[in-house]
Formats: sequence, structure tokens, C-alpha cells
Amino acid sequence: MGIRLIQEELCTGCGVCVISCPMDVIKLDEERRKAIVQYIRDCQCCYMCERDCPEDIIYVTPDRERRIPLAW
Amino acid sequence: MALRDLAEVYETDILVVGGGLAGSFAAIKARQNGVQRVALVDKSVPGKSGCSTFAAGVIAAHFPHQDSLQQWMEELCELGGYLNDQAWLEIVLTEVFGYVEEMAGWGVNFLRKADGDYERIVGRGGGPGRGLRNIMFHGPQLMEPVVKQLRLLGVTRYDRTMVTDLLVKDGRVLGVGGFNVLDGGYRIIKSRATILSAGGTYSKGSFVSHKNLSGDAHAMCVRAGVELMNFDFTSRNQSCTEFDTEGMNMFVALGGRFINARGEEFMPEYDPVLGNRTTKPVMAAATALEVKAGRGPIYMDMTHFTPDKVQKLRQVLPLASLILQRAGVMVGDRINRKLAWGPAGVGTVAFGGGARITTRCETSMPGLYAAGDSAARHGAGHNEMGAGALTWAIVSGARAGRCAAEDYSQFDLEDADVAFVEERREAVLKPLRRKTGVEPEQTILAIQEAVHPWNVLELRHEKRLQRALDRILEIKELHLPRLCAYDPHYLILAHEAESLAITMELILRAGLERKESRCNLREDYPEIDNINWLKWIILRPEGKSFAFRTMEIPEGPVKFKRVKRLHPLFTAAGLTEVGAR
Ligand SMILES: Cc1cc2nc3c(=O)[nH]c(=O)nc-3n(C[C@H](O)[C@H](O)[C@H](O)COP(=O)(O)OP(=O)(O)OC[C@H]3O[C@@H](n4cnc5c(N)ncnc54)[C@H](O)[C@@H]3O)c2cc1C
Ligand code: SF4
Ligand code: SF4
Repeated sequence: MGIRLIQEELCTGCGVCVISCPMDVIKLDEERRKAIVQYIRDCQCCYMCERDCPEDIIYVTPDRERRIPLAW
Repeated sequence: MALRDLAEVYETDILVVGGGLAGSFAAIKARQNGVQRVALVDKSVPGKSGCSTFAAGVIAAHFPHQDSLQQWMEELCELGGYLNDQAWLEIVLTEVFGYVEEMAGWGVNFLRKADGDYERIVGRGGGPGRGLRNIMFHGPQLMEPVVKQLRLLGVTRYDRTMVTDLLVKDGRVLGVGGFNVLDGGYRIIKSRATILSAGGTYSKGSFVSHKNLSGDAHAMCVRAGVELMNFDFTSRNQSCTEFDTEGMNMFVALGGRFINARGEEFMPEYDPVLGNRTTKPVMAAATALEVKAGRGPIYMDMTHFTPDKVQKLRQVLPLASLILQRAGVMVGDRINRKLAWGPAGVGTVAFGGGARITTRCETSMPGLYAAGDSAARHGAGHNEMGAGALTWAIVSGARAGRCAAEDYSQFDLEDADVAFVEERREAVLKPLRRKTGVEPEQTILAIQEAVHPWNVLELRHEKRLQRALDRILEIKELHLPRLCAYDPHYLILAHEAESLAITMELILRAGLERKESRCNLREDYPEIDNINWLKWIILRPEGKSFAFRTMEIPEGPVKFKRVKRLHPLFTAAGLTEVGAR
């Protein structure tokens, strides 16, 4: 699950989350001036975007999107 | 054809590749030592990416005015299986405090006692009567003031540029090549001196924050023919396997316990002195031996924490606390259930393989320096030295910056050969042009399936190491030439898959070479062999293969005995006669 944009209507399109995301998951939809989640499978649940979003409209869940083979 | 027809071309005097703590320190020290043009290139964004940004709040720092250097050296050499480079260890211990003070001056908020002095805590590898102590900071707050220094000092930044190649001519590094991850454009940055500090890898495993670290620096060294070492020691951190978090150092520092499927606390059986605060190698081997004995899976139990301990966790590990809260594990001032636990991945983050460097951070190739996780952790031996990874990043980064500043004027700015650049550009961008092919995530999954099972690298045997190596070589042959990328974002993944395959090959090949048990238990060689194996294993890439050589550990102030004995962990597990050879 990772990143959830919980209140898209409040997004100002400031682009802060796009710069903050180390994994290049978030892009800016230039036309609508809104953040979009383009590559959710690469979200590493690091909370950077949530921490930095000035409008506080991002919620990151700890559930990972990709399967990782475990040792046991 | 000129280089400019093939790429956007930039130039600088000193180029730093990767802006974690090591790379940032390198860039800062290069500027402070008078170099005008210092540039930092990162596949992501410094201060947002890399392990340093998400590190779990502890730094092993020797205080020269308070601690005994000899005692720290002795403890760390014992923990390091006497495979430490003692010259490096002494440098790291004596230099780190000055940089800690400098960082505090930049605004890093280390935890303080009421009298204003640093608060110090006993972490993994520490215990009663022992000297080792860690200082603490608040998660991402570490990197923010450091990155601010880059800005204040006028370091040029090339963010979102994934470096894939060291440009080499006549045995010297002339800069790097890579691509802009936003538009897929090929880029070249020419430099007089280049510092490799692009971190290591944890095989994109289950641990927060390092999923874009795939051993790119190791792969660059292999392509360029730079000497590597310590890949026979694999970093095997552990974490929660249900969801991604961090924080094991603090969990055990506060009293967290490893529990097996029967609910038994087993670590004191394997390490009677340090117990749950044991070193990573013991932790990795002990949990694997429990699983082998049918007492798996493993859990981390913190349900007995008192409210003040939970409060401390919230203070030092804001990120882990938020995660535990959202997963319903931390409720108010209680931890309400144990966590499924296991190896987070395998690799070179925090400790293990990397470029072999001198105490001036020079690699085997003129013009190239290395620091942090991209370099071998010379001072650590076979142990990850408690919270010493950040200590290594700071000291090696600062040294690399200072030494490159002393040397760079000897090297001219030169162009790489056009034919070489053309060939690499074609190879690097090729996945974008394949219409059908292997999705990079398929390859990454296949690599993880080959190396993650506990009986490959946690508990080793020649047959299983060889089988995993054969599979990695097969993946290299079948997948890598067919990787396809839908866009520049997927091109990152394609190159990460390649770097990961190369790094795992290094780990498995070097693992096969070390025919003894030490930090990594070998069922087919169950003895710690201080007669034949007080040696480092050094690899030199040669074409498509590697030449191995060993090097005797140089003498230092800490002395060791040359004896051979059954590894005590096998004895603790009741396995007195382990696997016939
Ligand atoms: C979750 C976690 C917690 C940890 N906690 C602690 C702790 O509490 N104490 C401790 O001592 N150690 C800890 N460690 C280990 C420690 O954080 C690392 O060893 C250390 O931060 C490494 O620093 P570095 O600068 O070498 O690399 P990193 O901080 O990993 O930085 C590498 C940089 O290189 C960039 N990069 C990577 N590949 C490329 C490329 N191809 N091109 C361009 N740029 C690239 C990355 O984007 C990144 O910015 C922890 C590690 C993890 C994963
Ligand atoms: S949680 Fe981290 S990886 Fe996921 S979208 Fe936010 S910043 Fe990116
Ligand atoms: S930081 Fe927040 S407000 Fe700004 S673009 Fe991202 S989601 Fe929108």
C-alpha cells in the first residue's frame, strides 16, 4: 500500500513531495497542478513525503507493496 | 564525433558520487580545504536518500578525553575476529569526536544530559565492564544540517542522476557517466579527482529506506577494474519481516529480546556475555541455527517495555515509532505484541565488501577515492562495530575529501575516449529501446530468491554457495541482456538489477574462498582458523572474471593468538561434529 494521497482536492501542486521522495514514486500532473502517485510499487514506506507535505494530505501505511522473499 | 554529441558534458575539480553522510563529508572537507569547484552527483536527493538519512539514531563515538583507546581497540578487534585493519581502526576512533563536535556546531541535535554533555548508551557489542558507547540523534535530523552545509559552501549538485560508469583511460579515472533519471538523457561529468560514496546494498530487502541502494558503486568498480575486498563478510542486519521498519540497535539497547517459536529467549545460550546485545554475525548465525534446529520462526519481544522505555523509543526513533504505531504494535505507552523477525537482506550496508582503500582513501586506481559503504570497512574486521557504520562514513568521507583536495591538482581534466563513451551510452540506454524483454523487478526477485534463504549466506556450505552462484550467473546471462525499461524510472530499476547481480556474485565468490567459520558459519569448515585465515581476501576484476589473492593481516597494537578451534556457536548449538568436508 505505502503512500496514500488522502485528500487530493487539497493538494496545491507545490511539488515538495516530488522532491522529497527518494524513490521517484510521485510526479506532478502539470495540467491539473496536483501530485500523482505514478510508481506505487517502488514506495519504500519511508514517510519522507508525508513528513514534508505542507498541506498534510499524505498518509503512508506500513504495508509494503512488493513481495520480498524471506529467509525463513 | 565529440563527447558533446553523445551526452550533456559537465566538469569539476572534485566530483563526489553519492550524497549520504560519507559523500557529504567528502564534499564539505574538499571545499573547506580550498578546492573551488566541488560537485556532488546523486541518483536521488542528498538528505532524502541513502541509509544515512534513515539511520536509526546511534553513532559509536570514542571520546578521547574520557575513553581508553586501547580498551576500545581491544574490544573492537575481538568483535572483529582480529581481521581489523588496526591502522584504520585507530584513525576512526581518534578522529570521530572532532567531527561529532563539528556536526553539533552545524545544528545536529545529539541527545544531551541535563548538564549539556552528550548522553551515551550501551549498544550492540557493548555490555558490563566494556568501554563501547554510542551517542544518539533523532532520525532524519542528522542529514538536514549536513546538507545545509553543502549549500552554504557552494557545492554544485547534480541530483536525480544515476551514475553507471567510471570513465577510465590509461588506468586513471577521468570522471563518470550516467543518466538523468527524469528524462533518460545521458550525462558525463569530468573531474580531476573522483570520490565514490554511493553506499552499498541490502539486496532491496525488508528494511526501511535502502530500496534504491543496489551496490551500484561495487558494480562500477567491477566494470572499471578497481580492487575490492571483504566481500567474504556479508552484512546481515535483521528486522521485522511483517512490514518495513528500522531500529534494532535501539530495541536491544532498551532490552528487546530475541524469542524462538517456543517463546524461549535463546540469545544468551549463544552469547552468554552480550546476550541480546550480541554482534550482528552472532545474531545472524544464532537465529539460523535455531531455525535449523526446528525452533523457528524468530520474534523480537518488547512487550515487557515500561512506559519510560517506550517514551525513549519515541524520542530517539520517531520514524520507527510512527511505523510501530500505524501497524498497531505500539499503543500508547505499551508494545502490545511481539514482531516476526528475520534477516533484512544480504549485502554491504554498514559493513562488508567495498573498494579496497589506503588510509588516504585512495583506491587501486589513480584519481579514484572511496568512502562510506562503497569502501570496504577496513577498521571493522568481521564485525559491524556496533553503531560504527556512521562513524566510518564520517571519518572515511572526511579523509577522502581532504586527501582528494591535497592531490587533485596533479590530475588534468581529460576527455574519455569517444568510442568507449559511445559503447557505454548504448549499453546503458538500451533497455529503453527494447519493446519486449524481462521486467527488472523479475530479475530483482530472482536474485533475492537465490540469496535470501537462511542456509545460503547465514549458515553456509560450499554446495549451497555454489548453487546460488550458478543461479546468479544464469540470471546474469539470461536476464541482464534482455532487461527492458518502459521509461527512465524503469531504467533505474534495470541498472539496479544489474548492480545487484554483480554484487551478489562478488559475495558468493568471495564466500566460497573463505574456507573457515568466522562471522559467517560454514558447516563444511566449522573451525575458526587463526592459523591459516587471519587474512583478507582481495579481488581484482579481470575481464569477465576475478583474480583472488589473500593478504596477511598486518600487526597492530592489539595482539592475537594463532590457534584453530571449533566455532563456539556450533558448540552452543550442540553440533560438535559439523558436516564432513
Ligand atoms: C535503516 C538503517 C538504519 C541504520 N542505522 C544505523 C545507526 O543507527 N548507526 C550506524 O552507525 N549505522 C546505521 N546504519 C548503517 C549506516 O546508515 C550506513 O552504513 C551509512 O549511512 C552509509 O553512509 P554512506 O554515505 O556510505 O551511504 P548512504 O547514506 O547509503 O548514501 C548513499 C548515497 O548514494 C546515492 N547513490 C546510490 N547509488 C548511486 C548511483 N548509482 N549514482 C549516484 N548516486 C547514487 C544514494 O542516493 C545516497 O544518497 C543503518 C542502516 C540502515 C539501512
Ligand atoms: S513513503 Fe517514501 S518512498 Fe513512499 S512515496 Fe513517500 S517518500 Fe516516496
Ligand atoms: S507536498 Fe502535498 S500539497 Fe505539495 S504537491 Fe505534494 S501532496 Fe500536493
